[in-house]
Amino acid sequence: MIFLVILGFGLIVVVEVPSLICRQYWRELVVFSFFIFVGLLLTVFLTLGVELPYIDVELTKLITGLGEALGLKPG
Amino acid sequence: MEEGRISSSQLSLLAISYLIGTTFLLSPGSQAKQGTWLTILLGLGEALIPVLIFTTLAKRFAGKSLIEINDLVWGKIVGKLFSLVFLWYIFHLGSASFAIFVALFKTTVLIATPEVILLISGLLSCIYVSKKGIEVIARTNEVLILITVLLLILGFLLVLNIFNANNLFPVIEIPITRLLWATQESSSLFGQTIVFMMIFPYLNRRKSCTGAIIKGLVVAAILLMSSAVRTTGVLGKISESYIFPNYETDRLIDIGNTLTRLEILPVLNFLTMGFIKSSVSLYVTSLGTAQLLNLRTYRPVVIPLGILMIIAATQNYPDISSHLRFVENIHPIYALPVQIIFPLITLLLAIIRRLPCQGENQ
Repeated sequence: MIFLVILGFGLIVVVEVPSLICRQYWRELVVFSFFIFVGLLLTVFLTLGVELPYIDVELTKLITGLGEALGLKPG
Repeated sequence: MEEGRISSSQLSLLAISYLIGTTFLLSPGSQAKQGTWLTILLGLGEALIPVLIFTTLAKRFAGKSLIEINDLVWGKIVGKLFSLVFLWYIFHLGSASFAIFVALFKTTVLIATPEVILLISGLLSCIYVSKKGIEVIARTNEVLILITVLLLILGFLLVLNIFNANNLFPVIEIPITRLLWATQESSSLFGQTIVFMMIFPYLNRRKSCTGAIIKGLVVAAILLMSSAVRTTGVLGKISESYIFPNYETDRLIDIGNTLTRLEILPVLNFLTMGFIKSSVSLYVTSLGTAQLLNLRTYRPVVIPLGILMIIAATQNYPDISSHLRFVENIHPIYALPVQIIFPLITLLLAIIRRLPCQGENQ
């Protein structure tokens, strides 16, 4: 499965990167590489079964925490 | 960065699709039971406040997107911080849209299909239109929304034989505080039109943005209200207990034992409108990221951000009911800074600082 993930990301890089190099879009290349690297890392984690936090759950904790800090109680 | 131009009517249609994209399925304000339609109506009225604030800001800085306005008014550091919060919000809306798409398909029509296949197939079409630009998204939407509205009208007509008007009464059965909260929930969903602050610069008549958004809001509210009346009229009080009440309503269609099991109608509606919502979110996130990081084009970041969006979709919520609770209880507060507080203080500061200066505006 990891092999398929790396193959998929490799394909994206092969399709996108040459045109960026040809046009000398270096800044765009750096941003693209950063996001692709983060994407690859997270996909590998998920493939390996690493438990990542849920966005809604974390936001709920943050907002209720802020509310409690401000002295508001959930209705 | 973006060469395309869209008309104000295309913007209105995009606003309708964006608003009914996921809310059509999840039915905003459903905690108000029979009064759901009323909370949508009240929510529409309340949502006019943020809409007037951000469209006034857009008209003051004609030709500038929210990212550029933040930079001009707040300076590079604070402006970028505000922009980052805005982009996160839109990214989250896009990922939630993908997540609901998967939840719907996995529980209804494509039960055995792996989640990742659904997400990748949805993402590929979104990436394609986002890379093509706003003009292609708007033109695609013109066709899709026509089909959706026709299917909605058809869906309404087909349940007339099982529709019970008594189910709509009493209109207000819940405490007034809960009704007001449900109104706030609806209002925060309408306030999602702030996403179009990134698209206003590409309107061919920039001054028409307020009218275009309000027209979109009103039509979306009418569609959502009619959908709420339909589900309450057919399912009664139990409509609140369903995750996808529209889907359950269409499942009950029975015209002379011949036309039955038409639950594919809301699935089709979501497929089209959810696609537009996800595409607009991906397009705006990519365009905004490119502006935030001073890139010459947004196209190289569409694919990586799309991948991150579907990863976020898998990590959005543990189950769909917890997302419904999030939409009901947390989203009205979570959306407040992006929809009202930031645009309002930005507008006030722009007035105090007499911005934009001569020559800063196009």
